Amino acid sequence: MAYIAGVDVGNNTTEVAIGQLSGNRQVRFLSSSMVRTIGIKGTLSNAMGIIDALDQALKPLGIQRKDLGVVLLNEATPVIGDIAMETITETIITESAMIGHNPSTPGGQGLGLGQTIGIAQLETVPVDDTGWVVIIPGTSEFESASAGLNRALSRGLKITGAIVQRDDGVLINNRLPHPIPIVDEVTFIDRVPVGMPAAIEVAQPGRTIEKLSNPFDIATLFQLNPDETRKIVPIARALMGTRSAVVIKTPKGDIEERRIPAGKIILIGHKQKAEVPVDQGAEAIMEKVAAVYPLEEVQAEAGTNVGGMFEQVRKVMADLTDQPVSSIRVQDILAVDTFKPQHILGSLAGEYALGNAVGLAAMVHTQKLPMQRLARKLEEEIGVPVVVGGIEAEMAIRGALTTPGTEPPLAIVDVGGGSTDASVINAAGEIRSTHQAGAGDMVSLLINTELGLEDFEMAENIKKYPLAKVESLFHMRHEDGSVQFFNRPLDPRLFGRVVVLTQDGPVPLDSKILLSKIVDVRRQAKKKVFVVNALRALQRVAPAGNIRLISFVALVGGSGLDFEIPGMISDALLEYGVVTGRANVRGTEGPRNAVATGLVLAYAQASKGE
Amino acid sequence: MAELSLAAGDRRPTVRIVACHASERDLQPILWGLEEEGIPAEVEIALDGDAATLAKQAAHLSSLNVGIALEGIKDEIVLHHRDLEGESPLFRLAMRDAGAVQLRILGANAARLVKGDPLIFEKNEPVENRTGNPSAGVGMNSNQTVDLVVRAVLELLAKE
Repeated sequence: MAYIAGVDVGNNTTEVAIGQLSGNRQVRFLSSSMVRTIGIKGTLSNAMGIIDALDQALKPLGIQRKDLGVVLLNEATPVIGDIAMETITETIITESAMIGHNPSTPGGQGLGLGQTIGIAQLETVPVDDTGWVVIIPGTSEFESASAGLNRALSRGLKITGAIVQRDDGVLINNRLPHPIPIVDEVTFIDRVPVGMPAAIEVAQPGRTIEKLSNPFDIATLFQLNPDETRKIVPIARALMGTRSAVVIKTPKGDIEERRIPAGKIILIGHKQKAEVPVDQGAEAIMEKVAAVYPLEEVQAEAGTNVGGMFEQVRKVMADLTDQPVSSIRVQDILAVDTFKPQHILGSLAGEYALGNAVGLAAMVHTQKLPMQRLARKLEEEIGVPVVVGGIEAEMAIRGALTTPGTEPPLAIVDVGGGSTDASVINAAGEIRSTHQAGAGDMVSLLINTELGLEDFEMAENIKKYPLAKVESLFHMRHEDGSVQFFNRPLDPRLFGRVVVLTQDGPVPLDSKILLSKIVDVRRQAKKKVFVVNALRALQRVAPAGNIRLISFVALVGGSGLDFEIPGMISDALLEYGVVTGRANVRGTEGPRNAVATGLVLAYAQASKGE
Repeated sequence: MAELSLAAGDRRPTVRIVACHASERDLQPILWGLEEEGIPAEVEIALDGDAATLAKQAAHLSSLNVGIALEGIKDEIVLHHRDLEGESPLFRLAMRDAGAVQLRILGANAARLVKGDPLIFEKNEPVENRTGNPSAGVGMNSNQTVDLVVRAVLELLAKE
């Protein structure tokens, strides 16, 4: 009648299953627990978390730690992943030549063409038929500014538009005899060049600008030759989709799209070698990865973006595993096409332009993680024998097979933080498993970059939780369209905002990005990583590499609990005629605790054979 | 029904502002805030009353459900919404502490409340958690929903 504990130390969580071994070597499971992993998986600092998890599982049973017969520790897979992102194209506008943004309330509407001039200088210019685009700095109150404009108009000056630093566009426009387009909330107004030809456009509410986002219209307005028109394209592209914009033609208005040498990746397989330039995009890279499979090492051209990126990955891996950089071998990569909003150099209102980028996840097989060392330390601390046993994938399958309604052959998919793993067990009990680069962390990185959040924690939240829009002080509309009422007023800081519905309540997003856009980015990121990788992993373990020959797939691990990943993977696998579901370990644990459960079962079986 | 819609049609859609012993200097920035956001406002003068009550009444009279009161004796400015409890308005500030910038933000926020746009908060303002845990209201039962509907119907009938 011995108590045994199975312990699974993962990248993010440490899980425990407590079982009781009866005289005839049958296992009865008594409890389980889960805590956050302390320290990096496989290091000595994990012991703290393990003890905490053991205590949590033992407490309801009224059992002391010293009463345990044995503690079983997983043989953690020596796989560590890292991620990086590199831009392929970059738009650089060397002279301040544009403003394009979405102030919440621009003034007037229409298109105006004129020469830029400071509001103070307006008093003294001679009257002729020059059109003027007036620059109104923040030091100028809207009342004096509109008075100045009105004086100029009554002198007979032609005023075609205004660029305002404060949020005064509507107020100024309302005090003029006829509306002119006004772009307000221009942060760096002092950078707007004076005495230059400028075009200003404000669209009517609900529309976006039409002229200044079209290179040929800009060419028409400024009488550009074909060569100059080619150079204006990045500006037109950056202005697309904004409600108001200014384009200023500066003499040295050097606008260039600079392509950074993205570099080449050299994929070295068992039998063949392939080279692929990164700027050919993710699809080309992944095709080559599949062609040279299995990979032994990935190299990158030195002195390029991708070269620097791989250097970084290797360095992180070397630090983590305490090995020399030269012995680190990258054994799988996942490339994903993405966009990266970038500050435009010389922008006047903090605008961004979207640059093409490639995200890369790399995975490294290391030598055995020092689990034995951890086991010894744990033994010292708790005074109970600790045994390292069982390959992780094998244990996970054993655990998953306790799901009611499953039997071999069965495949499992475990999407974790750093890698996506798959294993398959056939009717004869043979197990094959694989690890793929790219998982949860990659998705967070994509969300963070594409939405320009610069806040990894927020990106994690967006990945994990659904969104809602707070529509009144008392209700919010969830992303699926359903409405939830509250009987107490919501925090006014949430009002009108998109919120992430985290465990700790709604967290407002501090940006103007539409809810539908965020949902889109989130789902795309999950598809590009989770679905692609689940298919890739299953292909590698499936009999004859054919997913159709797998009939059942169980999802295990934390991502099995995600609100949309199981559905996405299940949809993708349906095309192959595969039945997919979330594992329900022991009929009670859901997709969690598979490895811990498997460890206890394997121990019981082994001791039966003795 | 026809009478109901007529009654509503009589009123111009405005944010109602009540000024009670308040100066033009305090009122003007609020009006500018509303104007920049494109929401019309209407000002009336009250002889006495307390700011929260006046604002709550104004919110009830406003067809946009938003009211502001400036009360000069106790030196208070209150922004209220029809659906909030009388004693817990959305914002309450002391007139003497509020500069033109704060007043203009108050006006803009009144407009944004109508439009459903995110409100403006000045940076470094201490977070005042008015509602405690916002998720406390989650799981409102059907009785409460019925209550709300009944209240809304009664209100409509009362206006007739």
